[in-house]
Amino acid sequence: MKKLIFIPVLIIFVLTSCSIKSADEYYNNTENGTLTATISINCSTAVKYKGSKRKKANILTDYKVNFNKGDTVFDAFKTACKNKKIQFEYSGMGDNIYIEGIDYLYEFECGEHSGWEYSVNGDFPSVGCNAYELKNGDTIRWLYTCDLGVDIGNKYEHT
Amino acid sequence: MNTLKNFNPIVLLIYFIYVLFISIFSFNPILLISGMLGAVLYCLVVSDKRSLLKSIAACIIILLAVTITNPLFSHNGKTVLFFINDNRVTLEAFVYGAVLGLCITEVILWFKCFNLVFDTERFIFLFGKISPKLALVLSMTLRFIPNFIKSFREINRTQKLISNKRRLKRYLNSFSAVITQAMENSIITSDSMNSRGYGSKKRTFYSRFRFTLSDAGFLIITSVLFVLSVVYKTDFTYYPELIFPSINFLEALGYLSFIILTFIPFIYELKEGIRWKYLISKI
Repeated sequence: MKKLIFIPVLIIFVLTSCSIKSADEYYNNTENGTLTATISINCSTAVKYKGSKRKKANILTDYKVNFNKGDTVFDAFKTACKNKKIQFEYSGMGDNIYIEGIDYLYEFECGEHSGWEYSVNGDFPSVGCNAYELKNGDTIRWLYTCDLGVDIGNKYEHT
Repeated sequence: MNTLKNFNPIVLLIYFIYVLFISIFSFNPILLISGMLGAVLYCLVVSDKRSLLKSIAACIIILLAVTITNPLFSHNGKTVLFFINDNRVTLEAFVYGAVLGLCITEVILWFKCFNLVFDTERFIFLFGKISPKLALVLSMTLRFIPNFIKSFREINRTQKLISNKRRLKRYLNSFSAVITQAMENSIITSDSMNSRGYGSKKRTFYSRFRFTLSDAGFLIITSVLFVLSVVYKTDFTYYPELIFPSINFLEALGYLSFIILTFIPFIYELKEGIRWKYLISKI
């Protein structure tokens, strides 16, 4: 029975390592940075997809977001979503962060080849969004694809 | 008393497939709760209350665990409760987790009912003609686990009396003894089967189960109820926001037919119990 004391200790440890905020607290906490980037989020492919209930293609259009030196695409994206109160879900950590869904639109909802991809200044980087460092004045576009990127101009090539 | 056993095993198997099919694929909390009530009431009438309480306690633990863990891994949903590490924890995820937990616990309870109805004899009747070897193996393995636990308990109790070893060491000792015993038993079983001529000729089975008029009635009633509840089903939406559809006359019919479908074993058992009492009172 003495060993059972580990359970509350473990729970307290887990709780202290998480930061728990209320919704207002989370959204009103704005972050400032010296550099700016432009973010747009678009799901026009999902609107066109047969059987999809999506009506609005533009989730975010040319939104200016501030970031600090050394921040990645994911950091800027997170700040933009926080400021505009857009829902998103990610998995993984470190360089391997993967965006599963934005604004209640998730991967695999429009066929088995669908999901979110991002482009910076028109190119599609082949690294995760938390491994790509931003430069001042970059244009980030988050696009929903229904066909592994072919329908948004990111041809998938076998190597 | 378990009078549901009097029906033909094939009809009973079809009935259980109907109930489990709707329970697994409907994902509808009203149907799941009605199914749970039906299973619990049937177990209450047929089996002992101790084992039922045990499985209900296990079910509640599973239900709570699934309800709490789902919001930690799914951040979909419009109603935000709070944020953990930049991830939203939503009401929708809690509700979805609760329904998922209900689904799992309901299936567990129905399998408990399934075990109460189907014994080895019925099992061999069902699968003996398709694959005699599979039926034999299945009935042997299903029998093996309870036997294993029983002999483990016996050996452990004896070990407790004759030695003062620590608990873990005692468990390990008993476990190795049980394993040895099980191996020995398997050799004895195969020897005795061999000496009685198993495998020398094609086996035939004798079983007393016939397809009677009441079996046909049971099959027709359950099939009609199943079709009604599948055709007039209601779809609940959980993500991104909870949408509970309004109930029309036809949807109510669908609900009612599934509720009747899940309560059939309980009602039948109750009816037979009353009839038994009535017949006894006449003597």
